[in-house]
Amino acid sequence: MATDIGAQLRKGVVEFCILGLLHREATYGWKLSEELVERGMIASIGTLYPVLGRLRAQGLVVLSDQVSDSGRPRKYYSLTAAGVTRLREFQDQWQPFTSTVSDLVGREKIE
Amino acid sequence: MNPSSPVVTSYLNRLESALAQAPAELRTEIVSGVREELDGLEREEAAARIEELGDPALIAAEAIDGLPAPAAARPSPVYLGFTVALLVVGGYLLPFVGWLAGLALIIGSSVWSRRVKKIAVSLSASAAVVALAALLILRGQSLGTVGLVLFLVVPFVVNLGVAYFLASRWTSAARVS
Repeated sequence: MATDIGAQLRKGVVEFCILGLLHREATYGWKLSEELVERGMIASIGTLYPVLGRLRAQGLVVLSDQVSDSGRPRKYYSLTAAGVTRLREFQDQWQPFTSTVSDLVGREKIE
Repeated sequence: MNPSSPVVTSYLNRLESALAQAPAELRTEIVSGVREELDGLEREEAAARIEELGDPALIAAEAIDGLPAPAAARPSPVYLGFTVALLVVGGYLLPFVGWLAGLALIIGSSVWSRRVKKIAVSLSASAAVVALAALLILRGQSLGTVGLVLFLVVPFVVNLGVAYFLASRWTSAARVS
């Protein structure tokens, strides 16, 4: 069966992208979704919430009621200490991992 | 804050209906996440956001697709115990039928693979054939008692081995799940 390589890759890393975004700043679901959709990491807001649910269940992310810059009440997602640790662990592995994969698949584009 | 426009209310209702199959917590989270963005927006702004969001059916499909697959039910050891008990002694308690019921439980189980079921049923059936043959061939001869003993003992011993084999495959299936 043919599989969408991009979709498989995104599936594997999207939760760490969310942790990365939340490490920069706590934010609400819509904003997260907008950024991830724009960058092609998720297809829609529907993809985001199951991942956020898993991250919350793992204690990596927490929800809190806050007021946004525009003065509207929002549910903000932020990283927990465990979330920061998890993100750091991923960072430690990601660079060597991508470098190894690039070596193996070849850096030159195949014509 | 402006009350939700009919466009927003209608979109949220469609989204909620599309998410009917999703777990309640996820449904609430998605709908309230979208609602907090759309509530209070001017009509045109809300329409633009709704267009950006896309079809509620697609959002729901993505959300449901993102859920972890339900964990396989852990196989119950009671089923295993009942199956092997019927296989080994069922035929003595309820001649033929008890043993057949044991075979039916083996075949009907979703835990063992087809290969394991095939091996177990073939061994047990072969033992039954050998036992019956011994009984019939040696009947009325001087070795008639030997035939009767073989008829009673061979299936018991073989089925005991089959039960052990099934139990070992059951444990590995339980570990996987």
